[in-house]
Amino acid sequence: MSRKNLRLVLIYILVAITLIFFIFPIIWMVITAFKPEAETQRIPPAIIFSPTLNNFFRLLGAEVGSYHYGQFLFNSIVVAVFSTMISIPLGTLAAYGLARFSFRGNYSIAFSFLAGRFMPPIATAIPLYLMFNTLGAIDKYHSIVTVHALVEIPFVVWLMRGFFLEVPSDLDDSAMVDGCSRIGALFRVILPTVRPGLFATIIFTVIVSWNEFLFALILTRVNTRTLPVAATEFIVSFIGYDYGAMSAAGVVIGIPIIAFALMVQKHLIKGMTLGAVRA
Amino acid sequence: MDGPTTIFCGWAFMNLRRYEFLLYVGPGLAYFLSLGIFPLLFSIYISFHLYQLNRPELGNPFVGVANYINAIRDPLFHDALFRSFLLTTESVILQMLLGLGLALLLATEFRGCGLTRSLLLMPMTLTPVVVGLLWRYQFQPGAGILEWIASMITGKSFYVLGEPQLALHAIVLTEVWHWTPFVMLILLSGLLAMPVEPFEAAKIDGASAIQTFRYITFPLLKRSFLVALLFRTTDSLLIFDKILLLTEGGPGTATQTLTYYNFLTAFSYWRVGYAAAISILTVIILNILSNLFIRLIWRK
Amino acid sequence: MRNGFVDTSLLRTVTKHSAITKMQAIAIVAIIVIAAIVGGSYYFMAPAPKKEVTINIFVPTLPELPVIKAALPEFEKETGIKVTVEATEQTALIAKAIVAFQGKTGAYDLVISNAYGMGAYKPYAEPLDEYIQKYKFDKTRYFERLMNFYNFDGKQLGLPIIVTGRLMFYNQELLSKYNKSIPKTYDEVLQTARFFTKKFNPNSPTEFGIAFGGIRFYLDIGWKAALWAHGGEWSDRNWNPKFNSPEGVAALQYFVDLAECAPPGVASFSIAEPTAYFIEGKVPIIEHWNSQIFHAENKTKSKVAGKVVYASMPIGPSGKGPYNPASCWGAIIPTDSRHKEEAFQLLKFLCSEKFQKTILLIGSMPVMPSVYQDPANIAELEKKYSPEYAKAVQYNVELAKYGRPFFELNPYQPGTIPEYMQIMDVEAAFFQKALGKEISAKEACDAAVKAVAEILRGAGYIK
Repeated sequence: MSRKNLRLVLIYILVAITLIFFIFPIIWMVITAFKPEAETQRIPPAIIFSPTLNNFFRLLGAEVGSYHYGQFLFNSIVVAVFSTMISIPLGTLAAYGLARFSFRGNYSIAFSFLAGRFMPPIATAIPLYLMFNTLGAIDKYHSIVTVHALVEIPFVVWLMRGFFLEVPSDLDDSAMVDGCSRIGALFRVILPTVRPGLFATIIFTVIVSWNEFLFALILTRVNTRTLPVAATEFIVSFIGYDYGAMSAAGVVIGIPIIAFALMVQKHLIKGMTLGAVRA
Repeated sequence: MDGPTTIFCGWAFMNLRRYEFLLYVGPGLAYFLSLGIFPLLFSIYISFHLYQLNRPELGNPFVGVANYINAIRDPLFHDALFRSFLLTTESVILQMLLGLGLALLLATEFRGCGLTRSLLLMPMTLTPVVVGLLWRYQFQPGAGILEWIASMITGKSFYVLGEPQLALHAIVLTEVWHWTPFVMLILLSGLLAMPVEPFEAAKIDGASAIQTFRYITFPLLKRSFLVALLFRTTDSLLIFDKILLLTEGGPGTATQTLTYYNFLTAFSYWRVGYAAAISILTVIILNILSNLFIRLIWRK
Repeated sequence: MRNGFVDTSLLRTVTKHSAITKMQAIAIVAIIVIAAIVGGSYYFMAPAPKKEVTINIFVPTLPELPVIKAALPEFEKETGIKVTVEATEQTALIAKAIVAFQGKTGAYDLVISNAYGMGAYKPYAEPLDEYIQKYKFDKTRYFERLMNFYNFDGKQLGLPIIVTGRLMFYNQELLSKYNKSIPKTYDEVLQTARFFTKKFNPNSPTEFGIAFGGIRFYLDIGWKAALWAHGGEWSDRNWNPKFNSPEGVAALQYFVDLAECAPPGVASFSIAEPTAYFIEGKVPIIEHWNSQIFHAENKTKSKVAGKVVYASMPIGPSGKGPYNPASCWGAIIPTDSRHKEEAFQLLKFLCSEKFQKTILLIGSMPVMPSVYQDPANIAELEKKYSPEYAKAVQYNVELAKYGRPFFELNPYQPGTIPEYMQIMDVEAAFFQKALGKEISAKEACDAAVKAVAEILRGAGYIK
């Protein structure tokens, strides 16, 4: 075998092992989502069973405090989209400022964005609840959207700052020499260059908001409840862990996100082929 | 234009230039600080009081640094700190190494690399509750695949989550599975955005793969690596949901990490003032750690 | 790192390919604006406050939850009061409820809580005596002991709805097959468990002889019952904990020994695991909650339906006992509620004979003696489930009448104290260490007593 082929085989083996490790539990979860309830807890696990959509019906058709799954899905989407619409622009601008300008306090400001994450979320839950409660914003979209944007901003700032720093500032300068203002340079030249990074950040931001649990639990009651919190009501109860419902919930909550990630993932590749400035 | 206005405009133009960064950094920072500072101040304030939620009749007496002194003396706090460090170290090292390896692997082009990248993102996209329970099942004797493998190797059936020595490592495994894709994503983006010339130059110069990695790839990757490291370390130290779902701090106190102890103190023992002190201490610890990492990696 | 050369012609190429064209920019802005409008309008169209009174109740994810929800339309028809149900898992519920009470905005009008949680809820619960008088609510129609769980300093702070407690489940068929009688004492339970454990008896038909819930909360409850049965008490009159006495150590040792006969991971068993093992016929004995009687007798899922003998906790070596740990689920009305009258109507409804009968028929455990005694109900149970189940359900009466509250600490001062949850958690953490063989039972009890005494001292119970 030629050296190149050997290398390829090695790569494929490693990829296969990795895939098995990471994907196997997910495959199990998808299978379990279709298992009838009695079969989910069998010891040893049932390999042959008659598939059923019962778990999904229970999850989707059920009334959770007179709200349906559709409402929770909508809530999760609204919160994810709006919080991203706040955090990405604010964070990217800030990241650009931190990357391109050297000023006293650059490090401190960059660090303070990071430091905001050092507080255990539980400690921030009570004061935030009290604050929003006073404002009458519990169980309304603006409280949870605001808080999610807050959670996402440190990621956006540090990730984008890293990407901006990779791009040499000559690029900005020459764009400005060509007649762009600095903002124009940012939009026309730099952002397209860091596009893979930008999309990675967006993927991540949406995932963070989609799966966020603690603040969604504290700041919502029934109207604006998001998927993860609503799902817990089924899965974790005094009846024990309902693995069938959990798997169905995992599938149902995960599909929109995975679809989104797949959609955006394309741009990661596209960015790579255009790449940074090449010889 | 008249004289003074011209002079003023000239001065403004010369000096405001210096503050141009505020235009960019300002909005984000303002938003972040205005909302984020309140919980911090609230916690600091509370940590100096005895805020006992189940005994509101006590009022909210000022106790100075009593909470902090209690924390430093509290054997359970030491224990929790120790567990957290153990968990974080193990978990972060594994995630960073594995993430790096995967990123390098997937940065090369091969048939199906796009699909593989998407597939490998999946663990990160699952809801934490689902991840926790998924692994709880996999650890269950007789039911889960992991336990099956382990019992094949050791010849006897045991429940990892119930063994004091092993429970923490089981949580590490769950964390690694869940978050390595995050590290991979960041490092991969960093790799994909790298300029090509240094590599071509290296190839021309006849550098080996290891040399290329050490002298070119890694230095270029330092920033992404640092970001991933900082975020994962913070999140690992603050881990909570998996502990709640998988072991509830047990067996004994084998998995009672810092934030779980914090949670117990606040919402089970109802000693919110003391919990706030623990929170502030956690912030200080993370502060020190992060600064350490930044200086270490930037200096290299 | 500087690349050095940046070709402007190259720049133009890059810009041409990857710049956002004007059309794309317009499209993006349009999408954002439309999304904002749609989202905003949806937000403003979000459920408006209702004209009639709506009360919010906060319920943990109990098996009875669907039944409660199903009964609400009827309640609305009767009284004209609408009810919004918010349900979440118990740990999250207590945390969120207490946080909500701090806000004092009347977020919840009724909160369903277990009696042991009253230590946390007590300061926030509205005394109900006034309403009981006003609406002629007859307290005597309920199990007195359960009523008292919510009575503090003569004030009724809540009402019970469902009784909970622990008992022993024995697989009669398996036991008699091997000529084993139903164990009566702690010692006999241990011996029987050992017989059915392959580790001790290679000829055992089952791999493990017993299963029980080993998480902190449940371990503490089981241990306490054993402590009492062995003749020990948790503390003396002045709150000095003394459960590291020989009785306490023996009680803990019992569980350490039992753990060796139990499936691996027993220290993490909650509700589902012991039941799963038992109904599969994999263990002949479990110590478990009364709510699991329903699952054990479930003909479609349980392999041991109809073959189970239910019994009280075992008797101690000196004949003391049995002490069945008991508690109940009930509801409180928070002091900051804005609709207390309406909330009480709902509470009355949940305690009404009709509703109590409804939950009896779905396999739950009501708190009204008459519901258990009504022959019509019994007949319905027999028909719907099985004669064995109808018989087993009567066990709850015994629990409600004679059970000893598991949240009791000082035997001279019954009733839960605010520090109960902390004390329970701290001492049980040590007990789990003994179970995991990290320390001996004696060491665990000593350490627990020391830690608990500190808590009591800090809270002012011990002078």
